Amino acid sequence: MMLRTLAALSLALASLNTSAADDLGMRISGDDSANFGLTISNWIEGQDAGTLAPGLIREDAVALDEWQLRMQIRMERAVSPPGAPINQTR
Amino acid sequence: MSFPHHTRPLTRALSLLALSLGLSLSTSAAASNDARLQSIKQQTLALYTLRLADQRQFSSSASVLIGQRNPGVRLQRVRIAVDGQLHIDYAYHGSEAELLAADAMHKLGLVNLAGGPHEISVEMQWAQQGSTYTEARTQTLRLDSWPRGFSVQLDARERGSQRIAIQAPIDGAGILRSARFELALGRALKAVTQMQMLAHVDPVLAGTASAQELLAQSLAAWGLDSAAQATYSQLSQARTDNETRNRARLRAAELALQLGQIDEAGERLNAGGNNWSAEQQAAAKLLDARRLLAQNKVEAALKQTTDAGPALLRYNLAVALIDSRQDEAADRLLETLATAPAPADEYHARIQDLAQLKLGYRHLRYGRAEAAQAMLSRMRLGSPYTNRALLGRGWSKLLPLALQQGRLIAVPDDGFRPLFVQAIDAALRQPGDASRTAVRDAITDWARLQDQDPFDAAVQEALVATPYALLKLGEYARAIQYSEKAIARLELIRDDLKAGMRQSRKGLSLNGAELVREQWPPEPAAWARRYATGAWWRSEADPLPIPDNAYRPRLLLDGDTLTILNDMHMLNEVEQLTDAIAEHPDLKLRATQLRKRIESERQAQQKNLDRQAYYWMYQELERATRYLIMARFSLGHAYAHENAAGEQP
Repeated sequence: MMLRTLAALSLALASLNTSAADDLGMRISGDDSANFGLTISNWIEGQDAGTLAPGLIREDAVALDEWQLRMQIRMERAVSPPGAPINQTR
Repeated sequence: MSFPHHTRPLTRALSLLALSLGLSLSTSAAASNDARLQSIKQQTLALYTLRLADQRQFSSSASVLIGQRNPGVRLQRVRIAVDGQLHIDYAYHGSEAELLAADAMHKLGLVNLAGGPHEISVEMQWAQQGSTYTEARTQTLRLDSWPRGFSVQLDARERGSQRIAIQAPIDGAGILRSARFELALGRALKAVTQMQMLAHVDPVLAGTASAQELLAQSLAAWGLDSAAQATYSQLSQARTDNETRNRARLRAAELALQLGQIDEAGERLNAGGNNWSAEQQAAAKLLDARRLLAQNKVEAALKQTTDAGPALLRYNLAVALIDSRQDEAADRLLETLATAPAPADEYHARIQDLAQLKLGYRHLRYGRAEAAQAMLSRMRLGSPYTNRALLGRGWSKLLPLALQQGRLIAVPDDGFRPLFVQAIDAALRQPGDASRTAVRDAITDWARLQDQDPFDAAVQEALVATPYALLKLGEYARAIQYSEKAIARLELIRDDLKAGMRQSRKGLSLNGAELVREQWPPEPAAWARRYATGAWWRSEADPLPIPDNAYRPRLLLDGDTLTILNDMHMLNEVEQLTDAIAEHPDLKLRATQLRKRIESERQAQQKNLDRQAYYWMYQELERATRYLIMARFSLGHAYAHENAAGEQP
């Protein structure tokens, strides 16, 4: 089971130009292929791999700026239809 | 409402962008953009001051101040004709009418109006107690004195045409009220120039504490932080009431902290005695704690830390405590924010949302599963952070199982995986039904994210974690179904982002100048027709009907995008002022040179905006690509299992 997982993951991460990857629907084509090496390398070596929080989303706390917070609320309202809940577009 | 200048956080973004695009943009280039803009602002104000000094002689323009004094009235429309010719026809929108009801005044310009007698006709329309009223009045006034112009004021308690008072000349009190109007609407330069005008018209009024405070607020809102700080510092030592003086001390200290002037901040907070009100005392302690942390005086900072005072200051102190590794004090402070009664206004509700989110994820990070779940469950529905809270709540279900293995997230022994894979694998490594139940519980939380906006990172993660979890549970058919859904959504948004990146390379992504000229800051629904996408992700259609440029509403909410747009708005404001400056014969040439600088800076800001848009999309695309890879991995794996099962006899 573990070997099969590893094999499939390897296909996903490293050999996307092979026909097996095509068969598995994992081929990344076009201008993504240029970015792909970078993506995988970030994934493996980037800071995400070392964080303790689950998932890829980091929830670091950063200082708030009053102007920015108020302006974001204002902009959300501006791009929402009249009477829509404030996070209509989110 | 104040709009303190947002210090530009572009440096990091632009330098990363330079790397990714191979541009030679450096951090100093971003800094020089700021310096150029500051220089243009300062030059404009200096020229305007010169022009103001000689205005009596050279100006052919006049102004009208419009106001009303009844809080229950909402002014809707004003039409003003001078000598039979219609000069003004203005319809007030919601927040403008609110401000007028709160005693502010609106200044409008009338050009080419000679001195002498003029027949002024005014028609006002307003709403009061569910009905609409209209009145008109005509009056002849001499407009000889400076500043040339008149004020029009509605008093809805009167009857008939007496409701409208038309008076000349414009007085200092009216100018002060119009500065408040402009500042509250985010037009800081107009507020500053009104205050300059006030200094000429009524120096005594301009020197009062309330006028000085308004001037300092306007300067800060226009990004002249040092000038604002100097004005606040002066006010903090002025002969006025304690309340005002202390308010100025606090703002001066806050600005000093923002500018990195730690000693100055300390001086403002500690010089002048301790005659604070209870609320001001709390704010002073929070600011002082931040100052002490910046000076690495942790013990003293902890003594000053209080759970009272303005929410934003408490939140920002919590962040500073986290940075100083004072986790217990930081979490306590976040807890008081997170568990306080729900605020009535959106701004404070957002701060509470963020306190709940950050504290919930900190509990998760340090292995406190139950606390994490309880905290993330507090998040209100309809917050922009609800999705992230739901995602984290799902993870909290898996945490106890991972902890039973003696570590938060088990390090996989079969290679690198995204962390959610590690968490799911770690949970399922525990024998028995409990682990499968926990994974199912997590899937239940994530299920609510399946049909949310797939541009949201939390939604993307739930879209992809769900099929992986199903795969690990051996539910291959469902894993295939969810993987396909994830792939379809992620591909849609990637296509949209890629199209956006192509446009942005050609500078077609966002026309900042056009946008801010239309309206800035924008009113509710002002840009709905242009940018609202609707909840396209909830459609039953296949493929989903994603509109073109669906990414744009999110790009517009990005802090760096907002800062650049605001800078471009400031350039527009400055440009308008050059027209007034050019009226002075001695300043015409300098006004022309200034216009050239403004145009050149506008082009530079548009380039910034293009780069910012490209960088933002690049990051979004990279994240979506990572998740897409994982979704394809799950799909391939689930198919392999299905096929293997089908081949078995």
